[in-house]
Order: sequence, then C-alpha cells, then structure tokens
Amino acid sequence: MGSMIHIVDDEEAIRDSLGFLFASRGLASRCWPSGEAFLAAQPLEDCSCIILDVRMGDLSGPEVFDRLLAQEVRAPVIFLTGHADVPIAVDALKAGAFDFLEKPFNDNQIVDLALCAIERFNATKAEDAARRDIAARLATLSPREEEVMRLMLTGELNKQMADRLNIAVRTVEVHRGRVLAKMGARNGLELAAMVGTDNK
Amino acid sequence: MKRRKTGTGNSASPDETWSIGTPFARRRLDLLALIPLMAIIALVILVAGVVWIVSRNEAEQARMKLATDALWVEQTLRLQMSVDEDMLARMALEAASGTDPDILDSRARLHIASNPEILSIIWYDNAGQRQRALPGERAPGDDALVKRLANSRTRGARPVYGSTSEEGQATMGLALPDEAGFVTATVSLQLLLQRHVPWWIAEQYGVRIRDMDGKSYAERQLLDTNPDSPSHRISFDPPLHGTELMITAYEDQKGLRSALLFGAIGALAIFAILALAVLYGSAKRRRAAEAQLRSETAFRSAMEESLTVGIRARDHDGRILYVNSAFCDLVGWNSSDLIGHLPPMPYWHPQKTEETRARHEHLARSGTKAQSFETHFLHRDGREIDVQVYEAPLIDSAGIHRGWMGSVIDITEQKRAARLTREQDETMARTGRLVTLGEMASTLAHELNQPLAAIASYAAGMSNLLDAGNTDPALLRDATGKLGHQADRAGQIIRHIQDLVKKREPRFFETRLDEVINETVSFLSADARAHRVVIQTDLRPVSAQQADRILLEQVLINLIRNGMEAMAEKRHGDKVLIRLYPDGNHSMIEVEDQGCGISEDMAGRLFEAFASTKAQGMGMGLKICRSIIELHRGQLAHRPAADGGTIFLITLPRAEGKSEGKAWAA
Repeated sequence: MGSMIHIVDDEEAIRDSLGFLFASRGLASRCWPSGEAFLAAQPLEDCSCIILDVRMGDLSGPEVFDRLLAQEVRAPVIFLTGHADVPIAVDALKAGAFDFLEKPFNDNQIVDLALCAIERFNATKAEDAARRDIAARLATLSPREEEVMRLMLTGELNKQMADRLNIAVRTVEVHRGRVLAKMGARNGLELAAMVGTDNK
Repeated sequence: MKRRKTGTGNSASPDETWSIGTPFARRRLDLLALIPLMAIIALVILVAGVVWIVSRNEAEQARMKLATDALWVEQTLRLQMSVDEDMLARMALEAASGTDPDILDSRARLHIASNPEILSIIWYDNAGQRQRALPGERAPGDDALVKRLANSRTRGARPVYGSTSEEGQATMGLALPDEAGFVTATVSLQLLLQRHVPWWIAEQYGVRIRDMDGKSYAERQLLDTNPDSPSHRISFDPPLHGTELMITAYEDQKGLRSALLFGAIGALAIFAILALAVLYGSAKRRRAAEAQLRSETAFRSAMEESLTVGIRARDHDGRILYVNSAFCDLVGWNSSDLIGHLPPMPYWHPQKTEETRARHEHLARSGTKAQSFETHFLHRDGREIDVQVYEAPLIDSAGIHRGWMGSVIDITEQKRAARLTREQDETMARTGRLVTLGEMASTLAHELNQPLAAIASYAAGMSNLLDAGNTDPALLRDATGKLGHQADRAGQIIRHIQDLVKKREPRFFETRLDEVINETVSFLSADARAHRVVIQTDLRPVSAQQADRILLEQVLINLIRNGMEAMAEKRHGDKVLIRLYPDGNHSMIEVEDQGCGISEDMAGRLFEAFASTKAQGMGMGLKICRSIIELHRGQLAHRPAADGGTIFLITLPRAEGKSEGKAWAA
C-alpha cells in the first residue's frame, strides 16, 4: 500500500506547486480545492498525510481538522499558515496536529516533514495492527485458560497454579499448552512480551 | 421616576375613579337643604299661631268692649228717658197744683226745645179728649194710650208707655191727679238716638232699637253693618214694651287685617320657600360645578404629576408661578423652593446666567410667539443637565398675556447618546483609515505569500529533479512556465496595491495644527493606557495653515504609536511628549518618546521600505509618513533624545499657495 499525501488548499498555484514538489521526491499526492470536498471523500484508505491550508474560503483549516478528528481520521495533519495566522496554527497543534509551516516555507522542509509524518503514521498503524491481532487471540481463550495465563504471567510454577486453582498439575499443563498455542507464543517469555504491557 | 406628593396632589382613595362632574354626597346635602325649609314652615306655623291667639284675644276684648259700650248706651238712653219721665211727672204735679197752663206750656216748649227727641206734649181732659197740644195741634200723640189710661183707672206717679209706633215714636202718659185729665209726651226714638248716642259710639257701632222680631224702629249708624258682625243686644223693655237695643260693631278691618297678615305671612313663606328652592337649585348647580371642578383639578394635577415633561410657568418678571413634580425631579429643588423665586434661578447654569437672561428678554420682546431652544440646567447636586425648553405664552381666560409656560424635557441622555455616537463614528472613521493601512499590509502579505510559496515550491521541485538526474525537458518547462506565471501574479498584486493607495487624493484645507494634535492624542488615549504611557502636549500658538488633516493625523498616530511601542520593550520613563511651536516660517511638531532609541544600524535605513524592528511590522509606516510630510512640502527627521529616547521632528512650511494634489504614496 503506497503512501498518499492529500493537499487541501483553495489556491490552485499552491496545490499544483506542492504536487510538483512532492512528485520530484517521488511522493504521490492528491489535491482537494476545499475542505468540504476533502471531507466528502472520506474515508480514504490511502490517507497517510494531510496538508491543510489555514485560510480557505468556506471552511477554514482548523474547522476541517476538527471534523476529521470527529470522523476518527488519524492521519497526521500539517498546517500551512499565512503571515498573521500563527496563533491559530499553534492552537491546532495543541489539538493534536502534526506540525505547521509558515508560508512561504523552506522548499524541501515540507517534504521532509511529510515524510516524517508518513513514517510515524505507518509505524503507528503497524503497532495498531499487532495490538489488534493480540486482542483477537486473547478473545479466543476460555475463562480457565485466561486464569492460567494470568498466573503464568506472574511467574508461578505449574504446581503452585494447581494448588491455587485447586486442579491437578496435569490439567494445568494442558491449559498452559493451549494458551501458548492459541496466542502463537513458543514459551512464557514470548507470551509476556506479547501481552505483558497492556493486559495486566 | 420618583413622584413627589405636593399640597395639591391627589388625595383620593385608590378605588375612586376619575368621574368628572359626579356629586358624590347628594343625600347628605339634600337633608341639609331640608333644614331651612322646615325652619321656614315652623316659623310660619308659629307666627300664624301667635297671630291667631292675638286676634282671638282681640276679638274677646272687642266683644267685652262691645258689651260695655252697649251697656253704656243703654244707661245713657234710659237716663234720658227717665229725664223725660221726670219732666212729665213734674208737669203733671204742677198742673195739679194749679199752675197756669200758659206757664206749663212755656215750660213744655222749653223742654221740647232743649230735648228735641220729644216730639210733643199733649194735655187731655178726663174724658180723653185733647185739650192742648204742644208744639202744635197736629202734634203726634197716642190716643190709644190715653184711652188705656182712662180705662185702667190706675194712677201711678210714674208715666206709662204706650206701644211703639211704626215711625219709631213712643208715647209716655201720666194721669193728672184728681182726675183732672192726662198728659202725654211722645218721644222720637230716632231723634233720641241721634241726640244721645255720642259720636265716638256711632263711629264704632251701629245702634238701633227694634222689636223682638227684628223690625227696626230707630237706628243710628254711619256705616253698613253685616248680620255676621259681632253685636250685643240688651232688652229695652221697660221702658219700651217689646223692644231691645242692639249695638253692632261695624264691619271692622280686623278680619281683613288678620287676613292680610296671614296672607302676608303665607306669601312670605311661599316666597321664602321659592327663594329656598331657587337657592337650593343654584347651590346644587354650584355643588355640581364644584365637584366637577374638584374632580377636574384632581385629574389635572394627577396628569401634571404623572407628566414626565417638566412644566414651569413664570410671569413677565420671571417669577416662577408653577412647577410640576417632573420639573422638581429634573432640577432637584422642591416646588416650595422654586415657586415665587425671581431670576437668577438656582438651577441656571452659572456660566449661562447672562445668556439665559438675554434669552428671557428676547422672549419678552418677541411678543406672544412660542419658541424652543436647548440649554443647560444645573441639578441641585451639581450635575449638568441638557434640556430642551419649549416656551409658550401663558394667556389667561381673559386673553391677557400673563407670562410664559415652559415645557422642559431632559435630553441629557439623548445628547450623550448622540455625542457617543458621533465620537464613535469619528473613532470608527479614524480606525477605519488606520485599519485600511494595516489591512493593506496584511493583505499585501497574504496575497504575495501565495505566489511566492508556489514559486519556491516549483524551484525546489526542479532542483530535486535535477539532483535526481531527471532532466525531462517537458516536465521542467512546464514547471518553469508555471513559476514565471506566479512571478507575474506577484507583480500584479504589488501594482494593484499601488493603484489602491493612489486613489486617495489629498485634500488641503485651512487647518489648525493644535486641534489636529489634540484630536490625535484623545484618539490614542485608550492605546496609551494600554501601553501604560502618558501623552503630554506642549502646544504654543501657531497660525492655521493649509493641510490635509487626515493625513497629518495618520502621521502623528504613526509616530506616537511607534514611540509607545518603543517604550514597550525598554523604557526609562512613561511619557510621550508632543510639542508644537513656530520656527520662522515653519511650524514644528516634535514627538519625543522615552523608549529604547534607534540603533545606528537602523537609523541609516529608517525610511527605507520594509525596514522594521517590530515583529509584525511591515516597515511601511515611516516611509508613508515621510511621503505625507513631503506632500506638505515639509520634512520628517529624527534625532536621539537627550536621555535615550527618540525625537521625530516634523517641519511644515507655512508658505502661501497650495501643494498640487499629487500622490503621496511610496
């Protein structure tokens, strides 16, 4: 899946020149003449970075940003600001925008910023995918297996677990094997690495 | 608004309505009106009773007097009759004693002469034949009596009366002793009455002698009598058989009098009642009128009290005749303080006393023409009030011009609102001009940013392509074409803005520089407070000169703002000082701040375009200022102040002749 940069600006010259600039660095981009048009096209599968102009005709950059947040579009947003719009851009940054650039900007700076944003976005996306995978596997565990797994993560031995759960040591071993199989871990260490941090 | 109750205020109960002309105490007043009526009736009854009692007493007295008088008359008549009887008896005795008949006759004549009621004296013989008759032979007599005397043979010493004749004559007879005959005397009752009833009796009563059947023998009465008149009857038998004396009071005026009296009383009573009725009617009308007046007065004063317009009446001397409560509220004085007050009034503005007096005099001269003017009053608490006064002549019901009636309206609020609006308008206009300059800079920046950003992007993109070894001519040509196009666009924007700036033609008028400075300072006062800076002025008189006021204001605003902003960073004082003074043929304006001063690096290019030390400055301000001053054929210079700040110096020539209206923009 290739990365796509979405440029939202009501100024045709800016859109075109930015597209040319991104293309010169081998980055694909798509232009939108207004915030409305961009919002109407959501959700976009290939959205990995959004360049938003602060000053636009009907819908201003921050407004478009607010609506994107409401639609849970997580792609990083870079604002382009004019001479007097810096405070607005700072506010947007506080609200979670990736960065802002003041026009006229240092030519390749925007490309580097976009690349950085895309990289981070992709990393976040991969992390998200792994987390979703673990969560799905956890969901397949039976209640007893989940209990056994929790005890495994505290580092107890099979015999201790059997005493605590009031079951035979043999039964504990069977559950343990199933947990590891279901979670796709080779041993308890891997399991702890996989689940340990966020599944206490 | 607080409403003051005055003495003439409405004291009616709250539920009373304004019913004009309704007498509200009719019953009570009607009873009151009945009292005099009843008094009159009682008086009439009382007077009538008294009159009746008095007249009854009078009637009683009159009857008593009648009876007394009747008895008196009877006595008199009887006395006379007995005198006659005595005379006859004496004659008889003398005849019997042999007295000469001639002597008797002469005596008889004498008696007849002195007692004219005696008609005759007749001598009869024993046989009853007439022997002598006095006064003459044909004297009336009563032969029947003589026969009766002769037949009876009874001889007494006292005469005997015969029956009374139709003519009212009665005869008394006496037998002479020794059967010598008889003697008679005939008496006329009429003459008896004539002669022996005195005049004062005759004046009051009718006296008559009559028989029992009412046939009258003799009467003496001066006036007609009425059968109903009070009368008294006394039997006159003896001496005269079957007669009575009747004395009748004349129809006296007593009845008439009392009738008249009663009539008069009745008439008076009726007159009094009529008068009372008329009085009552007029009193009722007056009461109704009074009630109406009262109600109207109450209504009028209520209206006056509820007016929000102040009302003030004064006479020709200026003395206040009337003020309503709205006026009192307006000026803060009580009506008792004001009514009767002569000018100058306590609410006159001290600085306007003469003006007000002059206006009053003018008003008095202008006759009866209503006028309206605006002035200032002074509230008792020292507050100044703007008022609109409408003066109208006060003309009484007789059409005489008594003074002036003024309606006073408090227009302080309107004035203040108007002033605020005007000031706001002015501020807006000025701010507008400044905003235009600021916005122009902002627009310039934004508009220029677009093509510049595009140009930078194309350039960077082309560099990237060339760096990567991609030299596709079509691609590069396309990019350079677009780049050139954006450069054109940037140039157009600059020209467009220059056009905009050129459109403002300067307008030169006779201008006072001190006014311009004062206005600018007051316009910037809020800004100064925000910067914690005090703007001081030191203005010496400079004659007015041709200038574009708005452009000069902009220069001053720019310079003062620069000064204040310079003091925002670093300061050694809090004053911005503006001086105005003449210098030969020039007017000089200095703007001195106590800020950080100008660095040497900056001083050299101070008036260059885009040279700015401020974060958001465009670097256009001072350049434009210099253009404006040069347009006025003056100079804008600067020098460091003695203690570290900066002084900007404007030199404006006061030469004759106008500058040509050429563009001032950079």
